[in-house]
Amino acid sequence: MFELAAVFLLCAVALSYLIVTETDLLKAVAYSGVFGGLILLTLYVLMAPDVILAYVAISVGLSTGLMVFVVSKTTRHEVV
Amino acid sequence: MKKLITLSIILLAVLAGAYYLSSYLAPRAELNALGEFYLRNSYFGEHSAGSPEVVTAILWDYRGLDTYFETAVLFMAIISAVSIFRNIPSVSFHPRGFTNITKTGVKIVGLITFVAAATTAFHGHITPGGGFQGGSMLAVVPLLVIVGFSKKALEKAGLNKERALVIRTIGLLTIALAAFYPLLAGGRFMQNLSIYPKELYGMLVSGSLSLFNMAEFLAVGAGFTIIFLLLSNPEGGSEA
Repeated sequence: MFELAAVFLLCAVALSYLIVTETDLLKAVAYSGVFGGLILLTLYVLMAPDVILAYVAISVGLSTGLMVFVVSKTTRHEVV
Repeated sequence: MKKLITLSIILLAVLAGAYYLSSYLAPRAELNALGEFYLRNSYFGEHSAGSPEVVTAILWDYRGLDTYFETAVLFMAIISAVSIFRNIPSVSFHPRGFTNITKTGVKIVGLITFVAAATTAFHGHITPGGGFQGGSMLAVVPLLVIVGFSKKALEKAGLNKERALVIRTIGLLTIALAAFYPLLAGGRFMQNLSIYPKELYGMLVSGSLSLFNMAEFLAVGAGFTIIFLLLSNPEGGSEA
């Protein structure tokens, strides 16, 4: 069962690299939502329902929403 | 291609690091003394918190002081956000929002989210969940309405910044009063059982735990709603 958590966490590491290097900011926000989902699955495998209930609302809902608001106040594409 | 090479190097490094560390981290075979104390006492024991849900018992009873000040930190953060935005006028405009399909979807999902949030918060002393969890789920509902309809639609329905501030203050005042009341009744700060009843009309309320959960539910939900109302203010008023 814990191997599953390791797989989810490895996917999360790969996604975090994608988030950092992505220049389309809206895509990066969407990736971070998926990243939250992977962490959620890890927490589910590790049997922490209390953390999941807070994390599902904050990572997938609130923080993604906040970031979309922030992106809408700047430009969509990151200028390097 | 360059991305893929960097990514595989990172993944290999993480795997190697985990493999190296795993020999030092032996899985734990038994509970430590503190964990065992909480598990044995939270519902049945001598130092009972009256709650079968151990996490909530720790949050609002055994380590209640930590949660009290954590709530105070959230309170200060939202107050500072409100004070930063104080001179920016609230622009009223009415964008068209999304199509009817999205709006109907938002209505259905919003109702389900609201019920789920309330259940999480009000059953927080029995099942996993609690005030903060329920409150952050509750805050998703106004966010959905702002995105799917508009900020104006939310304000027309009666939830504007001032009302949200009032709801939040009611929640925080309830927490403060429930925390200080045991001092007046001759107990300790945030004392739970023997000051507050464990059962009310045959319902398990776990002393002050369910009261704290409901108050935190209101405070956190309304607090996040204020932030979303402030952030969805269009700058200049011409475009969203």
